[in-house]
Amino acid sequence: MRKIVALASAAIMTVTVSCPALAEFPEQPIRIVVSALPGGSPDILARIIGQHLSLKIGQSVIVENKSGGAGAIANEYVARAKPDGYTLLGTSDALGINVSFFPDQPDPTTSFTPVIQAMSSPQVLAVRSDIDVKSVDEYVERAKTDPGGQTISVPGVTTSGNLASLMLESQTGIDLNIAVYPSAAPAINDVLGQHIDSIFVTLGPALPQIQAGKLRAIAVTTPERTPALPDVPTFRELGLDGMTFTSWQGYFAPAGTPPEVVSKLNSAINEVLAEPEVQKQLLANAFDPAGGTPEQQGALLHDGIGFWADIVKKNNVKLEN
Amino acid sequence: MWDTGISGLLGGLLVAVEPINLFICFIGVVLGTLVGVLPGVGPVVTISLLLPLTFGMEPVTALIMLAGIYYGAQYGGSTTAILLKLPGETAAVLTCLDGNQLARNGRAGAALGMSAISSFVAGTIGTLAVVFFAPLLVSIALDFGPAENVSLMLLGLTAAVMVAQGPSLPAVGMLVAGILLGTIGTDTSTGIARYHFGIPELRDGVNFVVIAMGIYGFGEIIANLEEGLKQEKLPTARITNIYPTRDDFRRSWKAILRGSFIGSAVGFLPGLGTSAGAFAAYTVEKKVSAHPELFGTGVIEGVAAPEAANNAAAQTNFIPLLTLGLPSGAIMALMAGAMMIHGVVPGPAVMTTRPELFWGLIASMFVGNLMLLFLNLNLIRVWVKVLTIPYSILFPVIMLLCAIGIYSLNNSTFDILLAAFFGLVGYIFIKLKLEPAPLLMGFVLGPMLEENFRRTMTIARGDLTIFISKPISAGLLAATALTIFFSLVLPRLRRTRHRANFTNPKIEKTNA
Repeated sequence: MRKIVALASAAIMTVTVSCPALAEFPEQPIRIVVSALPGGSPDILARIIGQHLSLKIGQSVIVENKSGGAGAIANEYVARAKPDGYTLLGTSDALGINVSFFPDQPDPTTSFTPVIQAMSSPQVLAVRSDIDVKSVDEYVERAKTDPGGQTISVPGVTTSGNLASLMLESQTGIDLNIAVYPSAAPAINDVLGQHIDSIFVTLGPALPQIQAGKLRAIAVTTPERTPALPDVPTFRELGLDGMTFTSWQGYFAPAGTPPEVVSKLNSAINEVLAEPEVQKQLLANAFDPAGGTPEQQGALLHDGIGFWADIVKKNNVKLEN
Repeated sequence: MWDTGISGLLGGLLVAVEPINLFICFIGVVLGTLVGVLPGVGPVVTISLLLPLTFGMEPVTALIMLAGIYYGAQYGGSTTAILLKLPGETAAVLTCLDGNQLARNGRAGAALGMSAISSFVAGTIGTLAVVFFAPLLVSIALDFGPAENVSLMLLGLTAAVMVAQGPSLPAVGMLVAGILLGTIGTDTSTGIARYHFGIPELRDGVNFVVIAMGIYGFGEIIANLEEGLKQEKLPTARITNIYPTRDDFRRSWKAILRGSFIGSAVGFLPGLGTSAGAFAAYTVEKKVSAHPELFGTGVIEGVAAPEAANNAAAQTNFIPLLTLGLPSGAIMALMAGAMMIHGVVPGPAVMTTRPELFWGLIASMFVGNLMLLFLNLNLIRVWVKVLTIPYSILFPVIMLLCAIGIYSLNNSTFDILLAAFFGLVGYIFIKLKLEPAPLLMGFVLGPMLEENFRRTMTIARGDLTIFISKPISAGLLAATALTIFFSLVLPRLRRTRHRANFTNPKIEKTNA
């Protein structure tokens, strides 16, 4: 028992010892803080990128999980961290969506400086394969025969899956029965179990079921078709242009981080994203590798905030009474 | 089904006994046992910490180690529950009830030994269930939609009240208190955070470990300190025998088999996992026992049954992940993440596209369980030594380890403060002689019941008849009604039958 205590306290001390910042970046390990439990999608992405990034920059990259408070805990932690580039926030389009839902959280456009967009992913509308619906037209038709009867599962109230379902309702004049789940896995589970007719979810977790023929994808939200599902049309092709958006994940540093540090991180991660090995790993998880400039990531966040605020307002989605 | 099972398993064994895999499996189960013993440090934290270390390994080797940590922790979790009344996870709450009383009667060794043996038998049976019944079990799991879950949880909550001391008013009160604590946090259906008082940490609710450590661990320590350290050592320090006796086995083998069966049967249900199995097994054992009134005072079956259920469930818990790619809880989500990082996309295709991985992992579970049996039987001598450490040294160490464990859940100091608060609550419970098990069960099942009930109402558009028009749901509701009926009627019959001829000299001493 005493040995265990000694080991534990030694471990704690190793963690808290840190070196002062020096001239040549990076001089110490870089931490990527994600608002997800280990095994969650932002965590997986950060670990894949972190593993290759550490080889490139010669410093270890540590993924730190600070889940909770709809991202608030990770966001506030990074916003308050020293703006030296050693603490990054691994986040997603939810950062922009949450502005509409949690007005008390810090403004992401002023709290953070963008580093890079790491990946993009479509949201997919899929029906369970025993239902004879092969297109969005047939889906809308079936919903009209039984208003409020066609069920659709979404992985959370504030997710783009839920908001996209509401958009689909208002743009096609149908009335869906939306069942909210805490995450993608149970939402998919109940569709496979034939308790729910359809689902609106990020492509990643649904892709294995689509490939196994248990779910039938009928449309994706991205402007272009996705490489993983070349035969599935986009909403834009189907004339539902308002349903066009892309989910993303990317990295941000605390506001005030020196531009040369940001640009160093940006080019290192860009190189990592271009590696064939990384591309293979990302595509296997249905993450489309992105990359680009910090400004592009900043614009993506900015546009998203306006896009989602509009939808949240039009559909009158509120978290407080 | 049988043919693929046997040939697949043989192929898997060849993978599992490769020297590197044997070695890594051993490392995994040893680590699992250790983190299971450390209060609050669970497999989730350990697996996430060690995940980066597996990057260089073959995917199957990595998964063998991570899985070993998971089911190894199920073995280790019972150790602190028995010795120190510190349940590190939901299922261990049940092991506490009789295990800790056994230890107080000087039979810590017997309780630990029975726990290891029943874990081994159940782990093996659970793995066999994965091999031969995975396709069948997963189709049953898919049949459990929101309505079926509601009925199942009603049955579970009913059973939880019975666990304590029959359907008593305090037990119902504790259950309701647990359900209310469970409402803290973000409501899935509406996204509204409830009872968070503006504290961001409370938006996600309270972690089970925080409440369990506080109420059981801290509460118990405060109560012991009140005694003014009169005794130099724990009451559990008097050890009469190290291993279970022949009589213990005679009394327990049926409980082990029933527990294994129940655990295997509920382990694959998403969300419920190991805890519901342990609760069900304990309740069933109490119901079929000839002396139900002795449960909670230190009967060996009361350790064997929940430990068996918990470990069988730990194995069948893998079924939804391995056959559908859908994780059934936090740990399985982590395993799914580990697979994805290693380039294996969890899904229905894994069994056919990566048979060496699928069967290698399953075969390693047999090997790992065998290692765990030997490891844990030998560790008993070490653990009982821990009990001879004087209070004044042991308690601060436990407090520190608990605090580290709680902090590791979410890297949050707020959780430690919250556990301190629940320590006071636990102390009050001890003073009022209230059994916290129903509270913890209400805490776990309450929010799931609410979430599923509201989801059922959404899907059925408010039509309550969905609960009786679906056959599985109707059957579970009937079972709930029967449980209530029998627990109200049967104990009265029993009490009159047994009062005359059954006395146990240890009862008075243990309640002191």
